Amino acid sequence: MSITNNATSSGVGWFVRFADLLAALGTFWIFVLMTLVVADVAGRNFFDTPLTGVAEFAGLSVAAIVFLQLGAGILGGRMTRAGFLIDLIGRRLPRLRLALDVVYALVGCVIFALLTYSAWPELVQSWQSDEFYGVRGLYMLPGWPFRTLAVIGAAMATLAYLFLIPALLRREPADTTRAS
Amino acid sequence: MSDLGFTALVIGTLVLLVLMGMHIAVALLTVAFVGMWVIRGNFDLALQMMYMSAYGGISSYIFATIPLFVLMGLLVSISNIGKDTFDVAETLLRRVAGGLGVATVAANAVFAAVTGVSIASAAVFTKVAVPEMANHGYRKAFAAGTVAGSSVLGMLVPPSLLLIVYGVLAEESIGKLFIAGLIPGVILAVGFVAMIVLLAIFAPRFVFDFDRLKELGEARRIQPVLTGKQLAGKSLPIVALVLLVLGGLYAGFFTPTEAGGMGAFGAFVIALMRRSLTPQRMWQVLRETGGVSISILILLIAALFYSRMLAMAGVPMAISDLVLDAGLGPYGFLALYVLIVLLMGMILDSTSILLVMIPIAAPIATDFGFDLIHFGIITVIAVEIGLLTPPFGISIFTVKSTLNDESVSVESIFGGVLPYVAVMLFVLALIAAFPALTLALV
Repeated sequence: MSITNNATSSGVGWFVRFADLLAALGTFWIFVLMTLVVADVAGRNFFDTPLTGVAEFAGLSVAAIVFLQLGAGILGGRMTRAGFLIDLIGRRLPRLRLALDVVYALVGCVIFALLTYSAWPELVQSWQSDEFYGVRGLYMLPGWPFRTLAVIGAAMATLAYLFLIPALLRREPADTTRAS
Repeated sequence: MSDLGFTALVIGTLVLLVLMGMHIAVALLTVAFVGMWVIRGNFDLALQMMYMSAYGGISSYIFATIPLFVLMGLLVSISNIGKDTFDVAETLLRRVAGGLGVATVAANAVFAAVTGVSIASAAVFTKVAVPEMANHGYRKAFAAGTVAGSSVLGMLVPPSLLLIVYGVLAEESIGKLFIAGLIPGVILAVGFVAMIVLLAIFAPRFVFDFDRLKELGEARRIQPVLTGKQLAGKSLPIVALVLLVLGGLYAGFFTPTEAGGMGAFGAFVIALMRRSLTPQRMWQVLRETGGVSISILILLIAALFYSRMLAMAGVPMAISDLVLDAGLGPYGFLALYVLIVLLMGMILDSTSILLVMIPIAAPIATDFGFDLIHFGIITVIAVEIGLLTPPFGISIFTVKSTLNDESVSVESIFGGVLPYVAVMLFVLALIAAFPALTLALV
């Protein structure tokens, strides 16, 4: 279910590019995470100066990486599915398969819209209460940037599922390529 | 509604949606959301719980292992370490019956210690081992089956993504699971080797293509043999990497997350030293790492939410009572469980099976007195068998598509892999019967 390939010809090119940009950030973040973990191990063992807060930052990084890549992941067909039955259906009844795929995309859209809706008040609260991670005085990571990524990521996922629908409908009904 | 009725409805809906091809993460999230809303009659609570799983649940130090080990595996895959390992094994084992098959298993076992994904091993060794085996008169289907069969070692020998996922779901120590996977991994590899040697001696028609052997004639015996210096050069990087990751974990020097970070960094340095890393390639590797990680992590988020909903609804308790009342006994339960996992393996990928099964099965296994680490290794072997059985044997498809050879059909690869499945079933029974095989080192 990848629409990234022919996106330039459609009206959602800007959205795909933005999702790619976020994913690139998430990609870069993985490399930073590796560097920090190595620096912490090296610092602790060779220079007797461990980096404080790497463990906490690593945990938060996972959430950040997920939310940054979510939109591009959905657009790029990274969502796992059991393709066995639906491929069979697609060969016999391509229209039924199309209908199912559209319904699935709608459900995905709704559930991520709910996630976005639930993430927003948490961001507001984090901002208003100056939420932070870590130990006051030693090291402090503000909470709001991570909460913001959660809102953006969930919203991108919602839109990604929404934009899958026209892409599905434009596709030839006879096209039975594997979706995953 | 009674607990059992609700349980049947929740699990039935999920299985139906997943079977019908809905994205598994979406199916898990939706069923969990609606389920929680119904149980508590509180829409806002369901919203809050979903956010907690998606944000707080995933922000965990231990989850950072996933992108790090994926990065390490991909870096190792592009820097020709797989081919070198195979070359070394080929030279060392050239006098053994079925030596190239044994070499493939041995190289896979070592390679498994630096990668956490079976599919990665399958792709690397299809390119390296299958052509070499075919050149030496092995049947291509047997060669492909050997690669697919031995690739499952990637998930059992630590570091293993499946063991990480299991550890998260069962709330068990991932470091301990990694160590527990070592002995079963070795037993499985030894079992594969024994089976290849026996087949080569007693059923050579299954292993070799005799027409091709005749064609090759004497040419086959003249093999390029590596010098001692070449051997050392080719084995040094992988040995260093295995020592760094496994040694660090086993000595308690690294946490699993640190082992992942150090392993990825080690693989990065090796790839740089071999000049197999241009900036563009590094970027491709990182993008792929992101893609693979997100597909696992989003499933984990969804599964965390789903398992919270199940716990809130008392589903594990209800099923546990049912199983206890049925008078199955611990091994009856285990047999039933393995059977269900094997059946699911025919249609689902490994991670998804764990996500659906473990939240329900782990509490029951505890009730029956199983050690969850022992139970985890059993689960992973059972799930891995699913990678090799039709109709959805993902390892088989990987080998087939990487091989891209018209003369080798999917069916013939399934045939070639059958002996490996038999060995796995045997090892599974062995490990189920003797928990010490997993727990001795822990």
